[in-house]
Amino acid sequence: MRNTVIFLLCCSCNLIFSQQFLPVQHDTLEHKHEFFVHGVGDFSTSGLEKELYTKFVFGGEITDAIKWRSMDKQRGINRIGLDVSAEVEYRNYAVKGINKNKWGLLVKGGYYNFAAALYGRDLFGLTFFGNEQYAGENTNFSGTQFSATSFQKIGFGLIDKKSKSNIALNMYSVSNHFAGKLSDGQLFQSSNGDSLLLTLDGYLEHTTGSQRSNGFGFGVDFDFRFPVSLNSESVSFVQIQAKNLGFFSVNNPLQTYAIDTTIAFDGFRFDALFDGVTNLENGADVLDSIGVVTGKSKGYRFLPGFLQAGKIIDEHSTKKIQGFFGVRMYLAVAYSPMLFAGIQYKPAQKFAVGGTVRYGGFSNTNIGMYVQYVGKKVSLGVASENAFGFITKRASGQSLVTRLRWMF
Amino acid sequence: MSKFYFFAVATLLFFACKKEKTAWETNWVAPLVNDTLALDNLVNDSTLTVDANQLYQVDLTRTILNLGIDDILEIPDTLITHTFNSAVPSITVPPGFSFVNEIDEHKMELGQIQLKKIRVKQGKITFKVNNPLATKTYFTVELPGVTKNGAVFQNNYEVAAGSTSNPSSATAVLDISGYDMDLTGVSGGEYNTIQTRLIVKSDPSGPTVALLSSNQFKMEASFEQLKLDYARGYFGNSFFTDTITQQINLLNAYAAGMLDLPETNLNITVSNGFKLDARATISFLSSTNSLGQNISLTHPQIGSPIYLNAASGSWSSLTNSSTSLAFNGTNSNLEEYMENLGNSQTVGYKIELNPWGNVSGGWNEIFPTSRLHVKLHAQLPLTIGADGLTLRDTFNFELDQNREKSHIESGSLVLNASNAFPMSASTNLYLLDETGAVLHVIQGSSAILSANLGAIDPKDGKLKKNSEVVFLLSKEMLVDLPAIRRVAVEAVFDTPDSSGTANVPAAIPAGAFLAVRLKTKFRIKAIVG
Repeated sequence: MRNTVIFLLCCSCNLIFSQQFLPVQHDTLEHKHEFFVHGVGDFSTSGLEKELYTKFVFGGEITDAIKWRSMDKQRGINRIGLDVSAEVEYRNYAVKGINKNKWGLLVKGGYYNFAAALYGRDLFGLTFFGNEQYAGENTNFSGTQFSATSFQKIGFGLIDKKSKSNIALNMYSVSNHFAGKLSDGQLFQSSNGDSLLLTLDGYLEHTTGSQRSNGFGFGVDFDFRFPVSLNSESVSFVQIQAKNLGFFSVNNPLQTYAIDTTIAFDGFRFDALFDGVTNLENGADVLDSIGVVTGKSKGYRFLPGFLQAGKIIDEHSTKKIQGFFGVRMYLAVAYSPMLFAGIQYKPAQKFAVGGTVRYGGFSNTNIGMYVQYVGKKVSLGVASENAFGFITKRASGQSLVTRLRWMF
Repeated sequence: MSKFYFFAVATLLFFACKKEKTAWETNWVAPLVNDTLALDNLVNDSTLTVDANQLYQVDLTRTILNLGIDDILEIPDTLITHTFNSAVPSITVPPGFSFVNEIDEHKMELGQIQLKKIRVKQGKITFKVNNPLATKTYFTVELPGVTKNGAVFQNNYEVAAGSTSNPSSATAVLDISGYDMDLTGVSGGEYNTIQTRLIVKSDPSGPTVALLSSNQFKMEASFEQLKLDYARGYFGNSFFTDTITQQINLLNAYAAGMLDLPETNLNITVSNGFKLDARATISFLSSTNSLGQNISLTHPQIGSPIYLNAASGSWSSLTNSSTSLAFNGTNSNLEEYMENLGNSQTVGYKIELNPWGNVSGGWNEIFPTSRLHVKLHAQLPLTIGADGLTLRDTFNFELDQNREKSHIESGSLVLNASNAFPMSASTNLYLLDETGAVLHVIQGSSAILSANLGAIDPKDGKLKKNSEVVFLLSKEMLVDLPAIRRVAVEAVFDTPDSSGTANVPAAIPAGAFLAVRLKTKFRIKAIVG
């Protein structure tokens, strides 16, 4: 319970969270101004239980029982993803003179932290249990990939006053970027533990420097909405949305480490041990000794962009029950396309509640829920796409989404 | 008031968020050492041989003294001066006139040593010539008796015009390596004598000048850093005495117990490659072990002079004169001396040259290949009887770990040994603090067992025994890790018979080895945050 409270607090303290996971309410009414505050805190895994990963947030001993329960959930390939982001957006529909007064202006800004990892069962086993249990076996952690990027953006764009379709061009300041991949990673150890054979082929790169901004980039957001008539009496709205589709370049070259080597080790000879040749003076010596090539790299990297397409909720529909569905994608290798669907029930004029089911992404199947107040001037929604994350320690993620909309 | 509530709630929640460190335990196994110890690894030359029974024999030859010509004859740096003044008060010197041409003799100060002929292996002469004439002159310096391939040493100098009060000079440094030097003088009957001849010639193109009796022509020759590789003459009645101590570091570790060695023969050979009579005396041989126990080798010849005849022949036909002393169990305490396991071996000696004076008529000779050496030679079967023989060595140790970060919680070192030596060893580790106090003792779970308790391996036909020894590293010991500054490794050796009930001397079979694989098994506590 305490963990849940703290998670909610941390999200609420930020106040400005991002947008995607609450079902988008399509509003065709024309306002003069709109102001949005969106926030997302979403952590998803395909193979870690909450009782394990929350230890990394709140601390504590990870017991063997906790490790084994997560170990049992590990598959050949597992995913972890973290999306903590916040965005504010101001829309001005009062502006005139653009495309015969059809378009308004928008300006937006936000910060984004996105991390994703793809790993195998053996890597989890090595990390949490050590290598003793793999005596006489080959542990394979090939295909391990991870990336993490923190960035801020400011964007300016145009919005169709009626359909609310919009497009914005963004500039980005990248704080940190960290990425790596092991194309081949294997550790074989003899049954009696007296020899090791380690194969590594991979790379690692990260930004250097302690500046707030270590890179600069450009990108685009767009949100296209169009009506679809399923029959003569019913019109639904479909949305195709993209966020942070872009790239960045670093100010200082990325520090890179590359390795493509096979190391066989069955122990030191006495001479080497006593002569002290194994005493490596510093970290660079250690890296050299195992064949790590350090270097610098300067080039362009893609931002972890977001794409979503699907049917959205019509805010002015008189129906008490509406459905929504779609597909979502992050431009990150660890993210598998996510399918989602949900139902909204509107028990009163200004309130709506809903439930969602999603499959894919960084996790497998999750059930979410949301509640929303839609007033004349203000609407506020709170959602979780992984409702079990607040209920049970066996959950595989936690999610909290907030959205505030102020119309004036 | 509302602000108060906000901060109160925020403070409460902040402390509710206070994060412990994340920790979990993992088990890791990794190899640490993989090596094979064989006797071939422990000897630095052909000390070991294998007899017909495929058993090791010690065939030890060590040179404990080795003297050559440089140790016997030392030519000090010598300065000789050749001057010339005109005999008449004044003479007119026309251009191209030679006016000095005489041989001078110079004696080197060598004490008792009377050298008649030498060959310079290495050395140089620094020449300086002075010209007092008011015209340029040409000096020819000649060293009669100093030859190389039959040619007499000669060198020419051009010296600018000078004056009586301020003569001009020229200097040159010449290498005389490889020159023969006849030191018998003009008469041929002298010794230690260097001859010089000076020829001075006025400039053929210069003016006519006056040569006064006050004008002095001067040549200085400085013989420096001469090393010889041949000498003939009388080398004097001199003696060399010294004490040599050799450290055998391998035996520093001896701590306790008994070592039983087989009966041993030891020969000390004194060989004289100099063509001169000599008298050698081995004053004493003593052995001091790491416990401070000292034994002196006894033998009728120790302390008594050994007479050495001169070598015979010359150059390529030179034949040394040798004398041997045999040490064995009946004429010495050799076995007891060796079983003392002395890590410090000291020899005192005295060597006297020409003890009867110049009885060779000045015909001592030393050739480039001449050596006077003392060699020690022992041959014995490598049969060792160990009964609680304890070796202990101490190593500096510094390995800290921060228990607030990822660290080794507990573990063990696992030693797997395949032993083909007829010797067992029990091993203990003592963990010592800065003052040498024992903090922890890690006892091996069992001994590395003797091959005599094993079986013949059909793969290589060797008798061997496999053992596993576990050294447990307790949590308490690892907590004390920062205080550990030294580790003493103690091994207690025994040579049990095949029943394991008694220790007996055991011969070491050829190819005996101890294959060691040491691996670590650590329980590591990973701490994040």
